[in-house]
Amino acid sequence: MTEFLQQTVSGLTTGLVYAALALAIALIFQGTGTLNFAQGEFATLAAFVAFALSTAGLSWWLVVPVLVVVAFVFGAGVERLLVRPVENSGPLALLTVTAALLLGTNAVTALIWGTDVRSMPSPFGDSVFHVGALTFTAQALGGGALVLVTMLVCGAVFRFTPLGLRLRAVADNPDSARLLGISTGLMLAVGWGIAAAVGAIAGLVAAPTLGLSPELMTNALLLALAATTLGGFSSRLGAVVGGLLVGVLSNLASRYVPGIGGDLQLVVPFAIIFLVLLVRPQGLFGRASTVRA
Amino acid sequence: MATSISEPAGAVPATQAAPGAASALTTPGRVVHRPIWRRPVTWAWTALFVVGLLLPFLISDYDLFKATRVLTIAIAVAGLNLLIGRAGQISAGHGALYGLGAYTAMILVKELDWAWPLAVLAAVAVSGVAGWLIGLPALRVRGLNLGLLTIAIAAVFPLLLNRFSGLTGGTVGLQLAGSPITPPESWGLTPEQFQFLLLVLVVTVVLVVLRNLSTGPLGRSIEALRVNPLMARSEGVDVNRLTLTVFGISSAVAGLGGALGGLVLASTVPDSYSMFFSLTLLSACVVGGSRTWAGALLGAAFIVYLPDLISQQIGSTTGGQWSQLVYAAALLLTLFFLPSGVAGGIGRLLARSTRRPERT
Repeated sequence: MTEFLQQTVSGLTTGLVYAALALAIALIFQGTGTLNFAQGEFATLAAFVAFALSTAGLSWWLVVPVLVVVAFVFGAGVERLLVRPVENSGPLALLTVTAALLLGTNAVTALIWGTDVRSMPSPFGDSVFHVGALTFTAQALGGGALVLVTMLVCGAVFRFTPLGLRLRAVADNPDSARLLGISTGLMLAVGWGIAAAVGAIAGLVAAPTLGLSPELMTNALLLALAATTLGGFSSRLGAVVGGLLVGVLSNLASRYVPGIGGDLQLVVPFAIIFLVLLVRPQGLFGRASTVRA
Repeated sequence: MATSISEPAGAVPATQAAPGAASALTTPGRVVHRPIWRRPVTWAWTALFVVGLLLPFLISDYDLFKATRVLTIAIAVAGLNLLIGRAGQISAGHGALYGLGAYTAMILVKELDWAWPLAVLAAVAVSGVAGWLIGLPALRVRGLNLGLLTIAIAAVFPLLLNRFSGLTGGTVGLQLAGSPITPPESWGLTPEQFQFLLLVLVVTVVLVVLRNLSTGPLGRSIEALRVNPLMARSEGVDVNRLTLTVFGISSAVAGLGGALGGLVLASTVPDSYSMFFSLTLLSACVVGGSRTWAGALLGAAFIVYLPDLISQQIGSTTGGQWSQLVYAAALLLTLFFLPSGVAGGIGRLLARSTRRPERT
């Protein structure tokens, strides 16, 4: 029983990373109507930037806010410069742009920092806590807390601020939003910025446990896509819940289902995507879309 | 914005139709009905075919080997063209289907001693069925689901290869002592010459079949599907079944390319079929021009020769990454400035220059 709980807890802590990445993917899907294949690579790039900043001697208290700002500017900049030109060219062109961004960002990261796996020190130290029979590392607790705070702030921005209202308006109905005088273009850029910032936190939290390399988020992207599918692409809450579920499920599966260990853990998110699309394509929290025919 | 991961059907047509309208050669309204021997396009292809038949006797076996690889990739890209350019659906996982074809053929030849033509046919069938199965959940709801599922396939495929190492040889993959595709003794051809000629014939057949598929009655349904699925449905097209058929055909064609590619190389390793290979195929399709069949050849040549060129220039350690960066840049530039791809752009230029005299 203790082991089951321990597995669940560690599933939840890794799940938080997928949840943050899934949230980023859902944000962009709601705003732009496309999957951002490059979301994982953005997060990897952010993790490397954080690594570079901290090795340059910056304290972690500064690295995190600087990283969030840099990621926001990067995300918004990518939307303005590279996504905007194909904004009206349909979903196919948009998706292809994000595929190009995946290839490009991955190449840039590998060219600057090399392809070796580096160990990144945990921003939260190496201490270990025991609660009853369960063990928590400072990294898991601190990382989990950081991701939770990020998601709460993100949720609050969307829910309670005028900016959030505009963002939601653009996501729900761009045409009406435009008629109300909201700059849809600006809001899309802000949405990409927020998504990149949330993803950056995911990268920062994932790097110390997974090892920093250009492949850092390749698998996480698949898990996050599964999380977003499970939760429903139209729901921010769904993405987060989906992330936690995917984290727990793949952890438990790799422990208790014979044959699914190590790398093959990735079959779990794949199976989730496959099943959800077959059974409930809108996801747990999504609304079914109806197109009048 | 549509909920779930489906697009409102109306969002698709507007600009998706534009690249099509741009490549004048395929626009129904503008096709000049001339006898087949007076069409410049037919002549260009015939000339290319003749060059293809002569090439093995003009260049070295090493260069031929590279060119054969271009042709195997071109087959897969042509399959992708049918899916992306004609049906307006995306696949970010054709690299996996190419790999599936390669592995199926290699396993059949190596473990079961099948003759290579049979192995290739079996690989085509396996890839086609796999594509059909992948498409099944993705196409229940139209939209980006196919993109979602195919990139998942692309990511999982190499892991599965590593996992089932009893069948696939794990990370070292499968190797044959030599390619089983060899000419009969009496022909006096080197294996490279024979393989290239074979590929020229196969590519020709594939392109003719795909072209006829996309211009015949089925092609008009596919066109309707891309331009406006709702309209297609109201015209009596079973939209889901058609998309599934197209995805299956496209996958089978990718598997054909993979099977021949694997057997010519006499080697398959999981690393060759990573997600990045799938995305590279996608860039070949878009950069070459997803609505032109010549684009498949151009795109394939682009992704086969570019890494070589780059390695020659800056050494092989970071060559792979630089080529990846160039693919990304080429993909973006094509999408921004040349939506119908390089071949589409050339076609438009040619069409403009040949049409002008007729007008005056």
